[in-house]
Amino acid sequence: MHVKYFLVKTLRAFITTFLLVVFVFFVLRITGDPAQAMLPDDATEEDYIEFRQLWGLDKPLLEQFYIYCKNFIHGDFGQSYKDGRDVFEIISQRLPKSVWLMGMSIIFSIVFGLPLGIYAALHRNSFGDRFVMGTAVFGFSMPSFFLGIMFILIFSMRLHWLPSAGSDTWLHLLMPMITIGLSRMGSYARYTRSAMLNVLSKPYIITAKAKGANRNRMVYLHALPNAAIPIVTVIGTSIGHMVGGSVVIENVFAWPGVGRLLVSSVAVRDLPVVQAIVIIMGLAMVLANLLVDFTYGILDPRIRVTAGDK
Amino acid sequence: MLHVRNLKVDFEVDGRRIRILHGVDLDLEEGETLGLVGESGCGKSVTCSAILRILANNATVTGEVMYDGTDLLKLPASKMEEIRGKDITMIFQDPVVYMNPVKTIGNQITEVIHLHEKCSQAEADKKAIDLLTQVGIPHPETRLKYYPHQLSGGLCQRVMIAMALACKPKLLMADEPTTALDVTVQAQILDLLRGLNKKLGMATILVTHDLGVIAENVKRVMVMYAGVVVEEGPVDIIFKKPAHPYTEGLLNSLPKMDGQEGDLIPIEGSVPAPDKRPQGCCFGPRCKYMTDECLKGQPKLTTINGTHRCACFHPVHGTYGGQE
Repeated sequence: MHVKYFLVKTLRAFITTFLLVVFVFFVLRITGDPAQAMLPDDATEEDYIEFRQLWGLDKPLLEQFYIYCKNFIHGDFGQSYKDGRDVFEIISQRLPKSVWLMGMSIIFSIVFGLPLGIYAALHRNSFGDRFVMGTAVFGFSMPSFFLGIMFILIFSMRLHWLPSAGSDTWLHLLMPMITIGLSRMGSYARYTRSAMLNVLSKPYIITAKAKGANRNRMVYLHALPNAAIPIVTVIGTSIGHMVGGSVVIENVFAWPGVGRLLVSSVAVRDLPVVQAIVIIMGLAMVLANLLVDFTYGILDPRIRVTAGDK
Repeated sequence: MLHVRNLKVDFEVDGRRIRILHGVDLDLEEGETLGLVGESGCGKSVTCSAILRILANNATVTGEVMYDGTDLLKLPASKMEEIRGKDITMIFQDPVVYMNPVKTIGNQITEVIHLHEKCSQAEADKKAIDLLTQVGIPHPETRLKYYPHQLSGGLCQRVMIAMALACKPKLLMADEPTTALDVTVQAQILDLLRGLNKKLGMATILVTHDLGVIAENVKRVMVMYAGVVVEEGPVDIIFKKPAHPYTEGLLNSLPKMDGQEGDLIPIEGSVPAPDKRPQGCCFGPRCKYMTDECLKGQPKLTTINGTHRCACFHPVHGTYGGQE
């Protein structure tokens, strides 16, 4: 019954991935000639021809794409134009750092955002509610690069409490994590609040009360599982935004992740590296959405069953 | 068993307090069936919800709800939770939206059992199956795993009834239990309720706007209008000799089955909004017998004959006592 729902969603994810690869490949090639960016100003015509031959840039675009796809399927992202190192190797050195930062930021924003949202919903229109919601607006309307720089100014430059660059210890993690997490936390809190308020006004909450359920039971066992459906959607889609945002933050805090690698690779038009990173980021979003769809199917029996019935 | 005195409910809306219920008295003995009838918005559901204390937070309830010698309105929240779902239960108008969409039927029924009795999951499941059989749901074992959206409205109401009966309540309040259901299903549900009421000996308050339902299912009826009880008494007397013009109007708006010809007579106008109550008798503006006397104030509920009571200065049958 449920298998079909999951299969359809997975297939859709594959199609999205393919479109992503196509898009990334062609768009990057439209934006300019890597040879010009890579080679020194005094390079001769022969140098250019040699460079293009070396990386297969002299072949027709479709053939290049075919080769790229073939290699991609085999997990071969090519070599960096800059130093000839294997792209996969370069990225796999950086990726764990980025995943670590992202993961911790997500956990941070969920751990604080959801309870704050629930609190605000349960104390609607109280001072606490207004305070939480005010903070939430502040959190997600503040540009994260600005917030990051402010943090560095205050906690690193002035107070000397936290290191401003690197990723060696927990202390290094703190500021970038909070910078990325704060804006997400704000939006999670707001969505959680509105989802909870919506669900708490549903008749089945009255039924739960009429059964003799206490307040905690009503909130956490009856309301929350229903409110979780829109909340999960928001979290899932925001992971995509976070991936993009972390590129900036990694640069602000000199975090040695793929975000920083991306910026430096774009600067020198190191196409294979840029391509691979953009595709990996895209894949992360596709996976996040797939995960949302799956969680959705688990959380909401109505989706599960109607999808299976068709 | 249940003695409600001077029950008043105020709702706070946009900083204003609006009175919805204007001092309702209600008595119910063990095993008795009582009908609450009236148009939409006259306070029938609010009365039940106030008794069970499940109104929204913006409601203020005053008065006295004596249940087996204790005033429910004075009980602490935790004590009230023990009574809800066990001694007093309630079923609602639209069963589908009153069931949690992400929980299975079995889960929702066994929850009540676990809340009020100590027993294992297996025992609770067995009880749930018994209950579903009792309310006439075929294949109860498989239905336990169903979700509400997989059941029809009628079946959902049966499940709601099963939930309400799980802990053998002494009082069941049924708030328009058949309004949202198909006509054919309505009769089945009412039959079921009547049968269970006899079998289990529980008291029942049946809320409805349908006089037909009242005639068939209860012995005593209370007619409510704009948050006030306007008439109360045995069903057979009230149907034959209504004393309040509103009750008379309700009965005149029903088709007759005794072959009499003639158009149905509607009651002109509509129930006043709670914040725009007329001066004097709340039914005044819609009443064809209205006099200047009716503007003086809301008439008290006074005895017409035996247990038949009415709140009207000019009752259609009988005379106004002025005092109880």
